[in-house]
Amino acid sequence: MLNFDELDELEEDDIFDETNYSDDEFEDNEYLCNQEKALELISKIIPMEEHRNIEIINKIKKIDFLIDNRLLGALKYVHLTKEAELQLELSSLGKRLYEEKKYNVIKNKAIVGFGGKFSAGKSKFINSLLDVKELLPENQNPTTSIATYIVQGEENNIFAYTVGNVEQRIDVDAFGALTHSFYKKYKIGFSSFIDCVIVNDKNMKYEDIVFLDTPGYSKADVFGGMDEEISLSDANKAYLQLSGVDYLIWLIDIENGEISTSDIAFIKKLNLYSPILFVLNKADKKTEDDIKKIIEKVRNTVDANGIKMYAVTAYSSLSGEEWNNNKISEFLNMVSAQKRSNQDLRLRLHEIEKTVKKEIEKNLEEVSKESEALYRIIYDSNNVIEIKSLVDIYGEKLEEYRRLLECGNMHERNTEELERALEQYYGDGR
Amino acid sequence: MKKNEMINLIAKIMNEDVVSENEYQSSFHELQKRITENLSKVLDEGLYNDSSSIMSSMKDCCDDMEIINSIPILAGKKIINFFTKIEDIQIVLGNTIPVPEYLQCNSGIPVFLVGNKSAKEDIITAITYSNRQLEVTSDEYIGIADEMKEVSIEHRRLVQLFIVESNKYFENLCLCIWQDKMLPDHEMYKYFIQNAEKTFLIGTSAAKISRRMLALDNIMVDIIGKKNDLEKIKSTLTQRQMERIKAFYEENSVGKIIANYNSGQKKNYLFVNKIEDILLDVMVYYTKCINHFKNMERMLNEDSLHLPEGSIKEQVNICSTNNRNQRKQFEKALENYRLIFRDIIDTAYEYQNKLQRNLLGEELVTQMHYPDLVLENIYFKYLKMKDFESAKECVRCMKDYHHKYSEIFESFMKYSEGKTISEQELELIEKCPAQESSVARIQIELFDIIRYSLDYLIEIVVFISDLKYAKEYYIYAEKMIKEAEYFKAADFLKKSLAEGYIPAGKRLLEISIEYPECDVTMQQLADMIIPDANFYLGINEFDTDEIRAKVNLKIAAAKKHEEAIEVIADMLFEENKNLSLDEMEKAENQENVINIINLYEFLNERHPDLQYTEHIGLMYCKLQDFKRALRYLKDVETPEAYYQCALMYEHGDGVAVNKKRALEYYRKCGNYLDASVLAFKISDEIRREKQNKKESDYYKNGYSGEREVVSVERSGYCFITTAACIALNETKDCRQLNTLRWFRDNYISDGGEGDLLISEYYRIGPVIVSHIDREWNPIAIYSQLWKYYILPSCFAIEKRDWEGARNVYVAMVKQLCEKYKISVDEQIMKKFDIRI
Repeated sequence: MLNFDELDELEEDDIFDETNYSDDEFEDNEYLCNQEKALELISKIIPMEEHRNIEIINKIKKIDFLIDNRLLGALKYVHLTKEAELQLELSSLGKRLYEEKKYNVIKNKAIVGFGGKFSAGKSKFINSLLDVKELLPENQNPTTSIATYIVQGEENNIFAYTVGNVEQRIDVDAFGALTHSFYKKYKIGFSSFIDCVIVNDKNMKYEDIVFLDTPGYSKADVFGGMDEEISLSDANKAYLQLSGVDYLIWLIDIENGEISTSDIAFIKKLNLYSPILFVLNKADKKTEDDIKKIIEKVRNTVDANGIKMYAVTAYSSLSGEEWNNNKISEFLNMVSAQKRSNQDLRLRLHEIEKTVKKEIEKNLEEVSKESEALYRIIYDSNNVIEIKSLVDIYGEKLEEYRRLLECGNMHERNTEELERALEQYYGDGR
Repeated sequence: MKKNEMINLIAKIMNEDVVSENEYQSSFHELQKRITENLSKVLDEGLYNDSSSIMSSMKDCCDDMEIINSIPILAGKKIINFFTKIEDIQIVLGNTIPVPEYLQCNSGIPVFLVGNKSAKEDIITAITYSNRQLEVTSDEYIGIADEMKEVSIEHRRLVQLFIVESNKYFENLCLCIWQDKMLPDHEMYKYFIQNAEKTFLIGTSAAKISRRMLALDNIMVDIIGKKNDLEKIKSTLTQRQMERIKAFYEENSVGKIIANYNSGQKKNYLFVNKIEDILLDVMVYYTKCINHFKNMERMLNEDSLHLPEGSIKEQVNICSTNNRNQRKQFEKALENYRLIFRDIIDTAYEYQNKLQRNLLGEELVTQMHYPDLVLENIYFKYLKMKDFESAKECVRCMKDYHHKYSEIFESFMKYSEGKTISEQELELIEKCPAQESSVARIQIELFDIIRYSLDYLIEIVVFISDLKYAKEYYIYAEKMIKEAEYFKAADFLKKSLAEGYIPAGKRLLEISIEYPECDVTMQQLADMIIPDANFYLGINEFDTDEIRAKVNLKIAAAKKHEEAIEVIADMLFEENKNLSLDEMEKAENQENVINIINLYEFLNERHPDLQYTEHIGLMYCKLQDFKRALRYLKDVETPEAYYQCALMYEHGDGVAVNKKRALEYYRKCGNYLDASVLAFKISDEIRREKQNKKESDYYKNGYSGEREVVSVERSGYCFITTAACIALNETKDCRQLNTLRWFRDNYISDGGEGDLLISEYYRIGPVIVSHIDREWNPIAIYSQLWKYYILPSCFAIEKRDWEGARNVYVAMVKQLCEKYKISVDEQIMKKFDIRI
């Protein structure tokens, strides 16, 4: 159901509107004018896979299996903290192997994600920040939108990374066509085939940072009247992308006058460790006084919800100016100084393996202490008929110790096997 | 196909315009959300140790369900797979199932032939990469399946499969035709392989067959081919390949088999069963733990009740508190889990309802469950949890669907509830063919009652689809032993033991001794608390590691291993039998002695033995509970027992004084200790009593005198007297002590032999006293000394018979030295004729 708050947002000029386009719009895009070109582009993204290497697929499958089923599956008798959550993460981790090429580009850089409602003007904000016009298409349909990374490059160029881990260089027209115009003209969307687009840009000042433009997390305000469940799947898309970022800049349309409860819920779910910079976008639409009040309001709400906050500031993408402040570049400089990326699959796996190992060791130590204490008690007691319960508990502790040890060994073996499989996979240069 | 037609076709497939979800899909997504968010949270907050399995099983289950969501026409259809070239399929299916010509131009996209009575014409549906159903014309089919590759677009990525519905196809079947050129990572492939009734490979040569088998991992398959080809194939395939083949069929015989599948019951597509089955594991675990904690609590309380005050009891109480806290935590976790369990089952049920209403157009669901193998699993899990209401619900569902074995399930439930089941019911279970997993499971659970032969049990255990209960593991281990797979056998016995089946431990010990190749050490067995193993180590390790040995013995003893208890009891008996009178004042030592009595009592109850009886009696002597001591010792025919009985009768300990009986007992002792001397003394006493001698009167009245302050300094000549005095202090007046002291100073000390005598007394006095103190009945001994030596000696002094007094006293020391084998100065030994 459409609610009235969101109705207001529908009036925004940068919201995608189906009825707005005409054929003229596609005149200068060669992929839309020329059907042969269009088919070529599609075949670039969905190429025939006759020569696709089954061996590599099998290797990935094996690694995926090791990560998804074995790593925690082997620990039947160990109670791990957050085991279910870890399992969910591991289930999704394996998928990264299929996107390996992308991760090579952004490796060792800190990812700054830009999040917010669909109408918050994220792409426009990034364009303005980079001081380029229309680098990022600003009217993406959220269901078809593709995660776009902006990194510093020696040249300006664009690569599409397909789901099949193929890297395709595309031109600006193709970028527009894939993310935007094909949908407008044919309703063709590529989000299932293109994992992400990486834009190398000379204007990108920060060598150690990657910007990630994500689809808005809610589009109920755009396509008003859609079922709640659909926007849920968008939220999920945005969630999956943003949950992997190192830092977050959260954009709020200043016209909303406050951060919405759905924003808060979304941010909380992301559970980020680093403090978040909140930017009230479209600051040019408000008076100084209003801006001040709104900033205060947002700050209070964020505080009250226990969200870690770097700062709240206001910005006008139109003028490219921050209001009264220099928080945005301060934030980015801070990020630059602490470059770190958790995007590396192997690093994250190592972390998980280590945590699990530690936990097993801790458990082992505890159980061993307990069983030793019981051993002493049994030795000291002569009332052998009256210590049957202690003996049973002692037996249980030994059993527990044995199982823990077994699980620990199994974990060790699995880790080794996984390491070998990864080594082999990476060694082959994919 | 022209370029613009191709673009339009692609646009049709890749249309990402938002379509609103239908009712059951949104209900399904709600379910998924609850699983990934709520369930994982509750699991992580809880105490289950295998949450990751629950999560991944739930994910697999949802993935499977997603397939029915995207292709609802498959609901209820049985799946039969064919791996073949699509051109060959018509030959196999025969004329009854016409495969349209145009279907054959297809490179690599699977085609499913599905019966649909209401389809007037063939309907072709493409299932796109995004799981969307897209109805296509035959031209479009050709465009996708054949022509798209000409513009180098991967058609197999765009369309996952085609469904062809026809009223000419089998109503209850989905015939899936998979081709060699399909994508190797086809997403739905796994589901159809795992859920198929049958998987056929069609091949003309062994090479083709083995290539196709290789692609199929480890699935069991059936082979179809021409008669001649089949012969060749059979002779060329390897042994391992042959093991994966269920049967070979000639081309023309397949139609009949397929038709047979069509006529049976529809396939269940409802999935509350599956979800419940997965989720119940947590509940079973929690319930098992809680029951375990309750049992443990009972045991701990019982132990605590019987244990004497002290550090061990304290430890038991600490364990008890921990145990109680743990139980409470588990109860809380179960409570929380129960909520999410109900919530997810209800949501799943709601989804299932909506799906069914959507597919069948009516409200049909009256049962939450469906009587398949999964429901049987659920039933067993509820029984394990002792949730008989829910188990009853399962049985009710089976009955409603006229499940073949519902009666057996009902009887077994009664049995599990602890109710008696009738002879007829048992007979019914006994005679049931055990090829069905659940029947085999029930028969094995009841093998103690229905006395099946081991051979029979071994035969049926293989029918159980997933071994998970103690007795099943046990029987399976027996099967492994029979097949000389000892290592595996040991493994299954360990599992059985871990599930609490005690006989498995004994069996494990047996095979580990008999077959060293099963690689189980005695230490491992001892760590599993198999009492025989603990005992074995306890006995054999005594010389190398006494502490460990004792712990092992105590463990075995705690588990009521009788030999271990005996070893411990004997050990403790030896350690405590010499406790002195002083030491026995301590509560700790009294408790030790009581404990020894308890151990022997325990043994005596099981296997009455006079040695146990004797030890119990002697320990009661230590406690100075002579009434009980006599009760035990009177029938024991050993010198020690006789001696103690004699003492008790002589002194009226726990019984009225009876000197004749005492004499009888002394005489039975033969040459034991100083029994013969005492026998002489008592018979003399009896004789004198008859003559009513004066001494005896003195002795009788001797105790009645006024009490004087006694110096308790134990020194020299009067050492023994002092000890006796202290020991008998309750009843005796010790003025004699002063008499003897005076006598010592004035008449014994003479600067010569007398002083030697005194100094020798100084030395041996304490030794003698310490021996007496450690006697079973020291007070009786002191009383004897008093009566036979101290009093007569004083009596002599009063009569100024110095020589007589000295002789009596020397006779006492001589007798004691001889009794306790204490060596004395040679000169004195010689003089007084002391013999050790």
